[in-house]
Amino acid sequence: MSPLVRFELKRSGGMREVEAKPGESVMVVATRNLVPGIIGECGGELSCATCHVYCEDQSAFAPMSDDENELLELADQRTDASRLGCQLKIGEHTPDTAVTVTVPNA
Amino acid sequence: MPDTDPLIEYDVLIVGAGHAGTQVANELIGGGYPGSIGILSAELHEPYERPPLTKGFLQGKTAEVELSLFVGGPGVSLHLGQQALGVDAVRRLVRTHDREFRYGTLVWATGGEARRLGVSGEELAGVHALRTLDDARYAREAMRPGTAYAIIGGGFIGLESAAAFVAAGVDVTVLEAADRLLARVTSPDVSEFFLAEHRRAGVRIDLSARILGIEGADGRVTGVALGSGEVLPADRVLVGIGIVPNVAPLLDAGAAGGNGVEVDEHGATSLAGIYAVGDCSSFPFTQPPLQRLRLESIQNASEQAKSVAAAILGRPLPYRPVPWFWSNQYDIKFKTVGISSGYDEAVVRGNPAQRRFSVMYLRNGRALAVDSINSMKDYVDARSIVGRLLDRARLADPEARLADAVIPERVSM
Repeated sequence: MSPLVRFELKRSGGMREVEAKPGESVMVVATRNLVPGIIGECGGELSCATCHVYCEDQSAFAPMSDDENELLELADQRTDASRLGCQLKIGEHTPDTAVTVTVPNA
Repeated sequence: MPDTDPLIEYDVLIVGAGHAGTQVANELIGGGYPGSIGILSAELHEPYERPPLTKGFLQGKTAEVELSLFVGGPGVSLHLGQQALGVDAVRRLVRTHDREFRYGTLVWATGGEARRLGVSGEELAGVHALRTLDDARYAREAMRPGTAYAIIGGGFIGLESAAAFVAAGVDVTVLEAADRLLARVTSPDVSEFFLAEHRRAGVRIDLSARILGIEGADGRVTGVALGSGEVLPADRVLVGIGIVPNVAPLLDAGAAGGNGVEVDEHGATSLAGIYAVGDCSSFPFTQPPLQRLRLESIQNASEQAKSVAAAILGRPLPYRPVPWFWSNQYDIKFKTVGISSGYDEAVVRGNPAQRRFSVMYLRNGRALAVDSINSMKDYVDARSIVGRLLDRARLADPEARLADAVIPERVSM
């Protein structure tokens, strides 16, 4: 069973649920499926902050690095749940994890 | 069904499947564009990301499958191995080696070809550029201890490759024609820093190097003949001296341009129904002495693509960028914001010896650009300070945030 990522679109109220491959980031899953509001301009290089998401339950992911924390200052509407989608890697050891993130810009 | 129809028609035909071309398609789809979209790629690979080629891919940290660049959705057709050879702007046709494509709107997103040195021996086996996935695969084949790699050009392509090569035990020499590295894009302080880092890592760097020719035996490269009289032995030669925009078919069709095709703020060329985007276009950018700018970057490709798609969708969004760019070499994260052309003062913040510093470029006290090395905070602040008046004393204080150096100005109406 492939892990699922559920994208809740904050502005439109819509929702997209897509399959992910272990090792992919939430940003890659989003861009590969044209999920609106996630651009991933720099390709995951911690240079752009265009993959901003809210993630309430972050237990499946590595904690935020200093660089990610600082770069998130570029994101609009930052909250305590803010993360960069490129830093949220779908775990290889938890393949049946379902992850929910909210996209603030869509 | 085999793709043999001699004339294929699209509402929007995009020439080039790099970041700019694919992003125009994705923006059109995201914006609800109802027409048909065709993309031509001269390459045989599915679209892929280029920046990691000389970074993670050469370092073996990024797998080939991870380079994949998404383009698609219903209504998008990708034609691989189709290089646009000619444009008829009157009949609205693009010609390739074996067919013609009719377009309603044409988007030219062809990027550029690696610039050639123009010396003897350049055609020898083992001499290559690093522009495509095939080039990067070819470089990786030779990345092992014992290989002597000469890199001609001390720009980002050459230096990122040098860092990856030397880490793999390759014997690396960088030959740079100017008297410092990265001369076209940064200031002497930053050039000095990179020079020291590369030398410390074991890369030989020759500045003010003159290349007389490339020598070979039995059709394979053996060395590089230098102006000093030395023949530098080399199993491989990487030529990384910039690109030449791929715009000849458009210029032949009558589009204005020279160093790239000229576009307006919406990406429109001087020809009706034809846009250009990314590395191959030069757009209005008034910052003395500049009038126009041609950029080779992801930021430019994707943000300009947004403007072009917006124009095609009838919701104009003029392209007025604050450019940004990054480079990874060893554990150095270099990030730059803005364009430093025309600066009259460079202020260094932090200490290069500690491998964490920034350089602010000012003109009449106003920020034009910021280069940051291993300093995410300064990079983040830099994105908002370009164009603002800065307090020099606060600027140089590494304890204060860069953004706090901005001098508030009353906005006159």
